[in-house]
Amino acid sequence: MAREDDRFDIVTLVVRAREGDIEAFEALVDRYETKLLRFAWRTLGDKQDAEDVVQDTLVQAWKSLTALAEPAAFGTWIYRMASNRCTDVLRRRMARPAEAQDPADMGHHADGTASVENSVEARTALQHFSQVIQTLSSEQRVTWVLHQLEGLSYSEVATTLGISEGSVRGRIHRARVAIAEGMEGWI
Amino acid sequence: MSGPNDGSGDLPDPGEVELEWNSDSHLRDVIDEYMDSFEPGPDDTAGVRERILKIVREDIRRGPATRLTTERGNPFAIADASVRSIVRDAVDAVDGIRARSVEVTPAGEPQGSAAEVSLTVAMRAGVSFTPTAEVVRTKVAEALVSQLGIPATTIDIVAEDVYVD
Repeated sequence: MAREDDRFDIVTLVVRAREGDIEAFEALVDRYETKLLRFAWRTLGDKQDAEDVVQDTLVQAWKSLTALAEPAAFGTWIYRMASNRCTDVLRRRMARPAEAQDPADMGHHADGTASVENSVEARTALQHFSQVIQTLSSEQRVTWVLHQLEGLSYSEVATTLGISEGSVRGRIHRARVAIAEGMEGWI
Repeated sequence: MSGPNDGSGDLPDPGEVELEWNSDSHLRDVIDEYMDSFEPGPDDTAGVRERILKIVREDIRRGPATRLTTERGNPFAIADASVRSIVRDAVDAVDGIRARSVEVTPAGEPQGSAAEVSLTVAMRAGVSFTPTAEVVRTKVAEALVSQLGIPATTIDIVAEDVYVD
């Protein structure tokens, strides 16, 4: 959807949006909605939960824009809010009895065509991988997705989550060990 | 930035871990496939976008209002967001200028029969501030009179940034 308004820089959009300019806020939504949805979906593995996180995050951003001291930091700020919400969702899930995820529902491209192209072995490895990911702690999972799947550096992840770079390194290391161990015999 | 309690103790060298992790091409393939499974398309975001903007529009309708007075002395109120929008549109219409923050304060006697305007703008590189600011003042004053019937007593402009097209 080529709705994105690129006439204005991020600072202009944030300043205008926090003074009630809905067009500026729409432009911010257009810039960040897909990125946030992808991040939340990859983190949570559930599209409905991911949509809820994105909606909550952007509505909360609208309501608390005046609290953002540095408009240029909007991107980091919004990712931190989304990360916190993803962590909350994962913690709530862990507090409940385990919900089995139907691997056939993992992605919206799972339309049957892909399964013909993929070998049975590969599909099984993917399904197993998705289960291994669910065994990570909520903090490890959010941190690992930001770094490994979203491509943020250790430093960028640290800034986004508001933790030290050492903590980021530790979480990612433990996530990788857990994934490597969980995938033993499958790859 | 790592400290004793940050969970980073006794970790192998990050470079070694990175190398070992990335050298496992089969695992990399599985991760790539996992990533591709969660790639939103336009249809995935359209519904969320509409729900977000519906909530925001409701919020704007309940937002604060600027209290003004007509030439005949009759008071009226208009949403702050609408007043700012009038000023922003006037500023944006000037070549090389983009409105950022806009503040419109009721002034005059009786109160609200005029307005004080303060705004910050970003200017395109190479634009001369003084003559352009005069054009902005004229456009804003005209917009307030034509759309609200209110004259501006002062229009303060601060250029806080420069942009390049």
